[in-house]
Amino acid sequence: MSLSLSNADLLASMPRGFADATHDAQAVFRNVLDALSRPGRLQTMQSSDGLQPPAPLSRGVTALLLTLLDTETSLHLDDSLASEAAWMYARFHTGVQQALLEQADFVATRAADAALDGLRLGSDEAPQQGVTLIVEAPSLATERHASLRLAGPGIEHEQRMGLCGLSLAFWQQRIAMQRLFPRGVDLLLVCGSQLIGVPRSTLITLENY
Amino acid sequence: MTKTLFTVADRQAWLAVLTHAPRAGLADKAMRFVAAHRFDWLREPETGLALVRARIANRGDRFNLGEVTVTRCIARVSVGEHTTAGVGHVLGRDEQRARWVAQFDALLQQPSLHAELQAEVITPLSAARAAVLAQEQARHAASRVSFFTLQSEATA
Repeated sequence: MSLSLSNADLLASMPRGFADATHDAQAVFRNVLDALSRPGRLQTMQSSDGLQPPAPLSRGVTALLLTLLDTETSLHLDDSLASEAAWMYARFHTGVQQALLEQADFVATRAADAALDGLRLGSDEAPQQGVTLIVEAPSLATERHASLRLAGPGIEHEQRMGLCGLSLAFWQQRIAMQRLFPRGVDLLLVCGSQLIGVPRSTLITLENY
Repeated sequence: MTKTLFTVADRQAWLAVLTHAPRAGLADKAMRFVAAHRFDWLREPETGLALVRARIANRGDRFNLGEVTVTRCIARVSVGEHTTAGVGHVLGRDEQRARWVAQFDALLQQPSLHAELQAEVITPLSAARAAVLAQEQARHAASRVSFFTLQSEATA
């Protein structure tokens, strides 16, 4: 009800959220759950026809934001993804609060700008306060020459994945973070309707470097 | 919007008329004016609670009076090249009424429909509400008790 009457024009041009808010969000939530319980394995998000992402957000990132955010969560959009339209959209459809990088529950960024510095890791008493980093990746394909080997909960033998457009320094930092467990950052990598989850419990080793 | 057809106060006024209109009256008008348009629901009707705060005799501190059930929704409609969004908030959980309010609000903002709807929908509904209120006031006025105090002769 925070929308005042003078926002009439803004509402008239507001892009649509999920066509069927409840069921679409449930389906995407299921995909996120699968992604985080099977780290490194590619999941396909159920695409929602009615969804209109605001510039400059992609469909995949928008679907995740609509699914995961509500009035009790806070979001930080990296400069590359932040825009007036994106914020209005997120606030209208989810009621999410805008937060600084250090305080946000969710952070969304492009792969090229992704960094782990300054993110909230939670504490040993309250590891659930660690941030969830949503990364818009250029590709989630497995690269032949360079890859990551994943092990840990949810992986029976081993799982491989490419760098997904994230820098080598980013992954090295992620590996360095493993000793802080249960503190850490959960990663959701999105490209189109494809999704890969890398929770903080996953142990990563760099291969072929 | 090319030019302003109405002010915020105008819109508040017609929204007040619409939300207070009885269901039957709205249904009747909706049949005539709303059915022809295709609406896009930006926000489907959802029911929640709103906290009502009050002040006694409009003085003193505000206190929480209680919670009321509110249903709200947002409809969007395009007529020609104009797209407008209308909001509907009604007390209670009557989703259809909230939809009608939002639909009329969206249509009333359309330049091509504004004048007609204002004359055919808002004016009669507002007159009907005024009549009901006047009747109610008359009924209450009959039971009004006035106290007179006689002035003492000394001060007169």
